[in-house]
Amino acid sequence: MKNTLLAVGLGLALVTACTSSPEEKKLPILGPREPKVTMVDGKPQVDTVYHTIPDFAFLDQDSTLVTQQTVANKIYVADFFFTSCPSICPKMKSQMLRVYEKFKDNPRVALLSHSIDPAHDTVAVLRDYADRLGVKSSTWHFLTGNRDSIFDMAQKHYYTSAMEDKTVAGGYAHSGSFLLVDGQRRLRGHYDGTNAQDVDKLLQDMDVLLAEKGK
Amino acid sequence: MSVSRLIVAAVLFLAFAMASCFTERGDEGELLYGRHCASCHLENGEGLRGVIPPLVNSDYVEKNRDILACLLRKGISGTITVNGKQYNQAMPGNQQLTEADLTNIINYLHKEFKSPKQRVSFGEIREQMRNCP
Repeated sequence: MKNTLLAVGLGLALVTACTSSPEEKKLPILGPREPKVTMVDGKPQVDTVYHTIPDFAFLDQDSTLVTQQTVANKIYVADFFFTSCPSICPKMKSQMLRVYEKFKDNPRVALLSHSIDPAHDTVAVLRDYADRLGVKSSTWHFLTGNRDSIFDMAQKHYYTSAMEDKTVAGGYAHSGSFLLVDGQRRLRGHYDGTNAQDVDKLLQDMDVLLAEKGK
Repeated sequence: MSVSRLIVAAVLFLAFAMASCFTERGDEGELLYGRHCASCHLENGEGLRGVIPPLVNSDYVEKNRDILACLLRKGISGTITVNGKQYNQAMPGNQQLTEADLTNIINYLHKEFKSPKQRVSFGEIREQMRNCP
């Protein structure tokens, strides 16, 4: 009797351990945070203010202005690249294609690929690039705009590197990071976009984040 | 008895040491491919859909077998057609590749990606480099 109970208990524990973990899992909120004290009914109340991606406005491959409104209530993945990049970009893009293929029909997911060579990567060049990849602009936006604004977004807000560097092939140095951003524009994950295993994790984390928002 | 065993052990050890030398030489093509080609054409040689052409069973590689080493050293610009699809991304040249490097890379392409269909010899590549278009 005791043994049966033990076995049933163990079985239950195993089943719940396997089934409940995706919902239970929560992604961290990355970046600096500050306490914000407000007075409610004469009593101080402390809220945590998380780092968020500020408002932005860039043009995509359809010449459409892409802003924070475009990704409102969506989760999105951001990266930085340029179309003529001879180093890590093809690898990043082949990994981003995996993300695209999994989520292309999910209206709550967007991908933002910022060009760090916007003088060369005009709307027409980005259009050609997106057409060649065969991806639709409603999900995957290739962005161009003011170069300094794009560098600023990368360095100060997404915490990844992107800069001009005449010493490297292609003339620009940048990391191969993919950044996962939630519906409130908070950073929730940072992945190596040139590493298939890390992108596997991103794909899982996106499911977690979508489930979190659904609650 | 023990001496002969020692000799056998020593011979075996040497054989292993030599074997590892030879395999490293054999991996030269893979190393070079990883260093100079894989970031665009990717490790699996499939390229990037529509942007970077594949090297796997590539009719372009086969057709250009006689100038392949020249293309690797000097690069390619303009539109090319590979397996029925057009590509226009320029390929940078690799001036620093020696004739031995080029031979190793092309034989790696042959071994892993089945194009070119035939191996190339060092002599053939040396001759090719003298007559680049």
